[in-house]
Amino acid sequence: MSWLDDTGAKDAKLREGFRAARERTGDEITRRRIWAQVANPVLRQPPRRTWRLRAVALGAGATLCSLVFLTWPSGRGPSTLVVNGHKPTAAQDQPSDEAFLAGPKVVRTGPSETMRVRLRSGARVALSTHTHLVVHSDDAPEVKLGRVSLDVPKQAPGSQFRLIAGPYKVLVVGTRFTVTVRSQNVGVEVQEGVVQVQRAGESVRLEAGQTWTGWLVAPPPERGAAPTPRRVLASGRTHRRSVVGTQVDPPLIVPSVSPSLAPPPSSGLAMQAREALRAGDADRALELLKTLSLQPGPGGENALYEMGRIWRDHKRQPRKALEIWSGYKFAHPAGLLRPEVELSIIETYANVGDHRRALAEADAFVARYPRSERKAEVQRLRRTLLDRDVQSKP
Amino acid sequence: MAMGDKTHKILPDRALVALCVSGDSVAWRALYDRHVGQVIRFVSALGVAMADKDDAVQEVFVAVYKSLPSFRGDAQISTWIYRIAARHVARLASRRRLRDMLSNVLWREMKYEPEARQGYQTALENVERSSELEMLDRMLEKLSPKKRTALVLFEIEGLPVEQVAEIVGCPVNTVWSRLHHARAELTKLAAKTPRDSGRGAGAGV
Repeated sequence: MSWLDDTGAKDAKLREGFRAARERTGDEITRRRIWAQVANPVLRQPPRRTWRLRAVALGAGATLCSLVFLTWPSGRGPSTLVVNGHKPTAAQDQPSDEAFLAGPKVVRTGPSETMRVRLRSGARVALSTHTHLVVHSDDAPEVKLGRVSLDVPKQAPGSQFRLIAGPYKVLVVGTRFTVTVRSQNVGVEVQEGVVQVQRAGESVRLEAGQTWTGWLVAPPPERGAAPTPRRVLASGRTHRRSVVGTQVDPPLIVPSVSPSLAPPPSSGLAMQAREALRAGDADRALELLKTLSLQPGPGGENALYEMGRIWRDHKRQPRKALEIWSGYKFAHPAGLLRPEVELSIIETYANVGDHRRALAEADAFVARYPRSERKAEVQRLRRTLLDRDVQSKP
Repeated sequence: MAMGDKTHKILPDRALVALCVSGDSVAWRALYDRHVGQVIRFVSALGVAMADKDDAVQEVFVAVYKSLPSFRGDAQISTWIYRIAARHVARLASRRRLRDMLSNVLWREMKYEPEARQGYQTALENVERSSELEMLDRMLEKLSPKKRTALVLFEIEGLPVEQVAEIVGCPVNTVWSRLHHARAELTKLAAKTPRDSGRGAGAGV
């Protein structure tokens, strides 16, 4: 930093400040705490005002597409996709960008490919990138992997449109919905109409605006393991209701879940709690976090930790916060946020003037985490507390 | 800290992004581990309050995750993440300014609330912050956002001017000009600062 090299002590201080700023990369606990939140990224609903713009853009786009469709010579199918080694055939009466697909066929999209197909039942299927769709000989589509949006026209009386996603069957009469199949779970998001998800006789009924997630494999273990992203299936949109499939081992049946009773996905609740807190409604945030804290996994752990912070920082009840964090320690003896909770306890005891307990907790922390990055800080805090105790004695 | 798979750790950024887009959770973890330090440092240097820092970093990563499919690979992923973070911090700052202004106009008491909370929030953080760092933070606060961003990217993040220009979206010469002015202001501010104005370790406990 040559511009600071040639002057006096003030600049040396500035240089030191820059050096310290370069090392401010966050400690392990901070990183872990943030990871607990970003492990489940949520697709947020865009602000309402953009919907109008999008609707106008969509309308203009649709008009343009219609014009292109009416004027473009027919017979062109998608050029980059593989369907059982052959390109899908475009029916003469279909729009040029929508291939007609009759089973049995296999469709895969690559990293930057999307595709639109139309099934014999009249259902329009939009495949996102990295999607694997199989159309069986009875024309029932099966999503093997990826994200598929379907627009199913009203079916003839007595007939139902059927889609397979892992061990689940999705039955519809006429609706618009999206199915996502990941390595660990299946998600269904209903835009219009009603959809029924079935597995071995058990079923879940989903209405417009609801999302549902079911596991393909056993859920990840609660403790010790890094949290696995549940990704975009669990919609965090606040005005939409969500349903989570009960986490079961694959051979078991997914029990029927009533949408109104089922808890919303954890990431959505956490987001709502944060929004409530930003709006100054600490009680609402606590209520949401309490629900979330009952769920297993890092989301539940983080909720307990955050509850303590709210009681301490927003409700100004540090004793209540200490109570919550003690509960955390009991419920999650090997929790991901255990060191952070213990640090908060030390800090809170120090702030409420209970130096004896703060010191005891600090000693326990140092003994428990001899290699912690924050050991030095705790030791410095401990020394400060001891000094203060000495000074306060007559 | 339990990190991602060893293979993922050695993969280049672009390969990690491709894996993330295909739904590989270990790749997402590896990408997070690789860039979280950079984001925390950048966000801190841009003056996000301690209480909001976690949220800001988290929101940056959520934005990164959501935008991964649209990452074209024209720039380095770190440049792209810096750009997202800078935009996010600017938005956060304007939101904060608006909130402060409203609280001043509508309800004057509100503005004292965060200070009251600080007693609890920063007990340990006060211990860890040196007086030099605090002095630098105070001086950076006095720079305009544009100058501050350029200075932070160049001096703290150690990026070349070309990359800074790419992140802030202006010509290279403009970056040099901002840096020149920011350095001059900073030197002037340092000269004005009283010698031992920083808090000592353990203050505020």
